This record gives sequence, structure tokens and C-alpha cells, in this order.
Amino acid sequence: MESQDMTSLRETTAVADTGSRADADDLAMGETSALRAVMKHAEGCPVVFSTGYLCRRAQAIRDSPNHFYMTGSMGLALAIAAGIAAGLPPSRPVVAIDGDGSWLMNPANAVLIGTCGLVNVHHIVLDNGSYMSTGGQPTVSGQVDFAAAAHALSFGGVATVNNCRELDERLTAAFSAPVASSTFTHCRVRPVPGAPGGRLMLPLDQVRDRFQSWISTVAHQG
Amino acid sequence: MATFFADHGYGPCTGVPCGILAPLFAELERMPQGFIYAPREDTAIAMACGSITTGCKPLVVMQNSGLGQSVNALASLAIPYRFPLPMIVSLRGIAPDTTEENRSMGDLTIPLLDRLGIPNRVARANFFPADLHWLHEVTGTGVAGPAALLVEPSFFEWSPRT
Repeated sequence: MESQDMTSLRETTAVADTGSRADADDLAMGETSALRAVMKHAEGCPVVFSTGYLCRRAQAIRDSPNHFYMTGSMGLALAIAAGIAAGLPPSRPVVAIDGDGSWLMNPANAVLIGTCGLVNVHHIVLDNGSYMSTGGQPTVSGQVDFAAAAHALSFGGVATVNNCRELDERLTAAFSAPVASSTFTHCRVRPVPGAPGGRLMLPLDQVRDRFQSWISTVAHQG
Repeated sequence: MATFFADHGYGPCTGVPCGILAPLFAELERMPQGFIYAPREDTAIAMACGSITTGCKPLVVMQNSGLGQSVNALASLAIPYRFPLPMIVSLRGIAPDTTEENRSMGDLTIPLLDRLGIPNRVARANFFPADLHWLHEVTGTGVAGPAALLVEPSFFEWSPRT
């Protein structure tokens, strides 16, 4: 009950912010649409996907060697991305895509961005308000100002987006600008019921091998 | 010790401090590659794994209490993805450390590593260069996975009074 109330409150606030029925429809941006948009902008970049459902959904949309599917180790996607970014030139953007539950598990990851002085990490949290892969239990995301927290922990550029247009504008700016600072984007999405696509096709060590080979041939260039 | 890692091209070096290993942290901080203090040990492991994909040779240093924090990062990331990850882990809870809060993890550290299938050995004060070479070799042979060099309280002359 509490989670429904929080969801209603969040949607009401967001609709009031945007002020039109069309935008209210936009608010219902499904997480698959959001993920597809992020993947399109992140083409050619190393991308770390967090935990089971996000990995499976990404694989179902488009499998690619630049994808690191982190199927376990919930809460550590940004730390992996930070390690990748630390080993690449600052001009190479690195992307981490988390769910709200994963972010809530380990927000302290973000201090690595400041500690290591990383300017090439784009962290995107798709917030559907629930732990989808375990049955849709509610997270406490409605209580948390993700963008403010990310800013306090290290990220220079932070934003919250509520619809496809805002997400697209945000990602266009993040990926086309000369890299000057790592960014954090909190993206409110509607949960998509049902299975997210099949389990990973590759064994996990081959996920790493393929990703590492791709990095060695592509990401060090330019 | 730190010179060995600098000479063999290690970096990034990351982890969370431990009193037993304080002299090592001080040495690593002075090395050209520096030392990155992470907020949690599992976070350090994940960052190190990410760096491996770019061709880096990271080192993770932690107290064994942090090994407890890191079980999932090892079990679901470093081991199944076969990341060749060298770790230096202290042994709090081993004599002369009788602190109650560390005793259980002291007892558990080696059995835990053994059950995870993580190669490990205790560093010997008189033979530690060989032990460092062992860590270097076991994570550099292509048979990828994490390995741990364990450091007892007496190694750097830690005492309960410190």
C-alpha cells in the first residue's frame, strides 16, 4: 500500500511539473523504451548492465560485444564502469546502467568518480520503483532524491528525466559534448511486466573475453 | 613489497585500509601508481575487475573482515567471469589478535577461500619475495581467477597495543 501511495505521489508530482496530458502519457515511458534509447546513444561505448533482468532485456534488444552483462554482484555496476574508465583515455565514454534497487544497494560506488577524478563515466539509473527480477517487490526509490544524492557523492552533472523527449535530450547532450565531467541521469520509467527475454546466451567467462577483446581492438583507439 | 608491484606494472592498486597492513598501505601510497581508497572492499574488487578488461593489472588490498563483505563480489563476479585478480588480505583474529569482533573471520578466512576455490597462502616474513612471485604467477598464467596472499598480524609486527 505504501509503495502505491508513493508511486501515485511521484506520478502526480511529475505530471504537475510537465502540465499536460501528452506529457502524462510520456511519463509512462516503459523501461524497455528507455533502455533502447540509452543503448542507441551508447553505441560504440563500453556499457555495463546491472543484474539479471536489465542484462536479459538488453540482450533481447541487441546483443553486442561492447556489453558487459553483470548478472550477479548487485550494486557493483558503477564500480566496474569506474575501473574500465580508469583504464581508458578520458575521451572514451563508459556507461553504467543500473536499476533503482541496484543503486539503492550501494550508492557509495559513486565516490570512486571523485576519488579517481573520472570525467568519462555516464551513470544511468532506470527507476521503475520495484525489484522486477524477484517478483516486483517495491523499492524505496520514491523516498530518495537520486540526482541530489549522486551530486553529493561525486557527480558534477546530474538530472532527472520523466519522459522520452527529456531522456533523448539529456543523452544527446551527455554523449555529444566534449567530455568534461561524468554525468548521472535518474530516469523514471514504467515497469514492463513479463519476462525480459531469455537468459544470457554466453557463459560468463566468455562475456568477459568478448568484452575484453572488443576493448582491446576498439576502445583504445582515438 | 610495494616496490615489487610497481616494478611489475601493477595498477590500479585499490582497497580498504587495515591496521595490520598499515605499513604496506603507506608504501603503496608512495608508489608512482598511488593507491585508491575505495568505500568498500567489494567495490574495490569490482573496480579492479573493470580495469582488467582494459589490460590493467590491478591489486586489491584489504582486511579479512572486508573479505566477508566481498563474498558476493568474488562468488558472482571475480570467479565466474574468471578475472585474474591478485589480493592481499590481512588475518585479523589470528594470534596475537584476540579481539572478539575479529575472531570468527580469523577462523573463517582460509576455509572460506578454500571453499571458493581461491588459491591462497600465508606470507612468510623470511620468504615474502617468493610469496609475492607466487601471487604474481598464479594470477598471470592465464588460468584466470582471484588469488589471495594472506598476512598475519606478526608480519608487520602488529600488536594488540597498537
